[in-house]
Amino acid sequence: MTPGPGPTTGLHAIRAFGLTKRYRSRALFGGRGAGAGTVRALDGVSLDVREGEVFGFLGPNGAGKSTLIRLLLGYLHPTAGQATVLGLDTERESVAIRARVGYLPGGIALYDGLTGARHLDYLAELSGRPPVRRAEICDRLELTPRTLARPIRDYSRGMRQKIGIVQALQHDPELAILDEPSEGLDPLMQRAFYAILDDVRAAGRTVFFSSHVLSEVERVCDRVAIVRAGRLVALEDVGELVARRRRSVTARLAGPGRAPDLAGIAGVTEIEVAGSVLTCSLAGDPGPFLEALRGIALTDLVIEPARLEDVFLELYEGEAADEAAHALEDAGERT
Amino acid sequence: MISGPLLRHTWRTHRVRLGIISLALAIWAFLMPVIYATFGREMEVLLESGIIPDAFLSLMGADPFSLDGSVALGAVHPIAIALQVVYPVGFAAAAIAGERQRGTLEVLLSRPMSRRTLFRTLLVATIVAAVITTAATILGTVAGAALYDVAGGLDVSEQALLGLNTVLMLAALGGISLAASASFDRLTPAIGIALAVTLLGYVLEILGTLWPDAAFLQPYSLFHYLRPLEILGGEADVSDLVVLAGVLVASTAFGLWRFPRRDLAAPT
Repeated sequence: MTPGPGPTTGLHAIRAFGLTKRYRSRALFGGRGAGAGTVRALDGVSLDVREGEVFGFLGPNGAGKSTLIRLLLGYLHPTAGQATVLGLDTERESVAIRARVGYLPGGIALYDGLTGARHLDYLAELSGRPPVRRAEICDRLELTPRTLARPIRDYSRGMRQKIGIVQALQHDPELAILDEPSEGLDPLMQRAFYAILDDVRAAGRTVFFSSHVLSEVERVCDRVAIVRAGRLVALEDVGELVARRRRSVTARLAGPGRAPDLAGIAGVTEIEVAGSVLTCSLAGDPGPFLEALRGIALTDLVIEPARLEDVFLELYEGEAADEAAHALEDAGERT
Repeated sequence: MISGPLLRHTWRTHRVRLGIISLALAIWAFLMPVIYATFGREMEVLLESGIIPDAFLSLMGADPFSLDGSVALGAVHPIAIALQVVYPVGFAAAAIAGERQRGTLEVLLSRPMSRRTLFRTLLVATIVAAVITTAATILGTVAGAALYDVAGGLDVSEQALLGLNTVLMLAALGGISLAASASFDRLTPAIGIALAVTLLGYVLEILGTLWPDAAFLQPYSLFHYLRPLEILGGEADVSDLVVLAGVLVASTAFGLWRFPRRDLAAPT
């Protein structure tokens, strides 16, 4: 039994409890042929996104990122579990949720026959809220009135993405749900977009940010959730997650002197000494390790910075094994 | 409740096309009294000679060269039907499935609008289109009759009832098409169902008219309940309108039940 959501505290923009989505995979002839069965898009995901934070949702294609977003916005109905957005139930109060949320779908499709300006006007009308931030965001993304007067069919992919960003944020939503928002933007525009996100955060708004661009998530997000094969495998502050990551250390000893005894030092593993070169892995606080090196003559010391990418790759090492296990479970459900 | 911005957007997008179709229908309807006024007497003599087979006359209606007969023939002629069903079938079938296939439904449904509101708005747009094309047809008929000085032969209440009958038939087709549109992610099956209902219905009606042994199939066609000749002859049957209204209500109820329950997975 999945625990129900507790009372709204006003501190959570999103709360999910055991959110599960399974699709029936249909084969020809009534779903009884080869390929029929259940596809687990999301499996018991529980998370909370605090108000005012930029929350990153990470995973490769097909991991379940878009499925979670679609469940939150009412495009999909959960197989099990439940969720609230801004304190509202995603199943029963989906319309009220969408009145307070700005959403940028992944690979956004727009009405090609409309001009950029007309498109934004139309979506603002549908939102029922004035586009109070449009001018400012358009300015930052270099969407000039002349550009906006052109039909969308003439736009490049990057320009379409800019329109997508503007339509999601122009009405100053309390929560912005952005599915791979920087896709198609050039580096300059990416930087402008990050500046917009900084402003959104400074204004106390919440951003739920799905991406597979790890450097981007590391750059803009306060906390991050990592999803693998539909399951949540990490949910932490970006800084803490990265700090826990093992860093590779290389120390060059000055001369053939005795190598320091690092065995038993907290966080230090995989110690190897080859001639005057010492290598090891370091996790957590580097203080005890540096203390152990005190008095040792070194010509060089390199501690590679921990990156979110390393954490991500580490968490994904077992993906193939997990997918195989899922496939076996699904096959079991079919029989 | 319906969405005003969506209805306005739909109107802006389709007004030119709808205007062209309405104009074409008005011209077509204009020609019917003109044909009657120009050739009616001569053709009546031709009919009385027995040279035209009964089955063909039956297909055209009992008295195709009276004023009412001309107007009725114009209303059920394949050209008029083809023009009239463009919106109830083409627009309605593409209205949701087309947006879904193009990916624009994502953006639309990211706004505070329920799927039922979306469905109802598009149904209203379909019915408004049917009212406009039907009104254009009636205006064309009246204009043609007035210009050729045969307007005295037209009964206003019968014309209004024929208009209602036509709108209900088009709305019933539109309801089925929209329900199909709300049930699929792709345009092809939605259009396929809408076209199949329309074409098969028309074929059944024609087949039953030409071949008495197939007459039992006619009640399964929506076109069977479009009765211009009976209405203009003062023999309107309310049950025809009730059947069409029933189909509209049933298809709308299905669409309003089905659409919100569907999972809308990410477009591929």
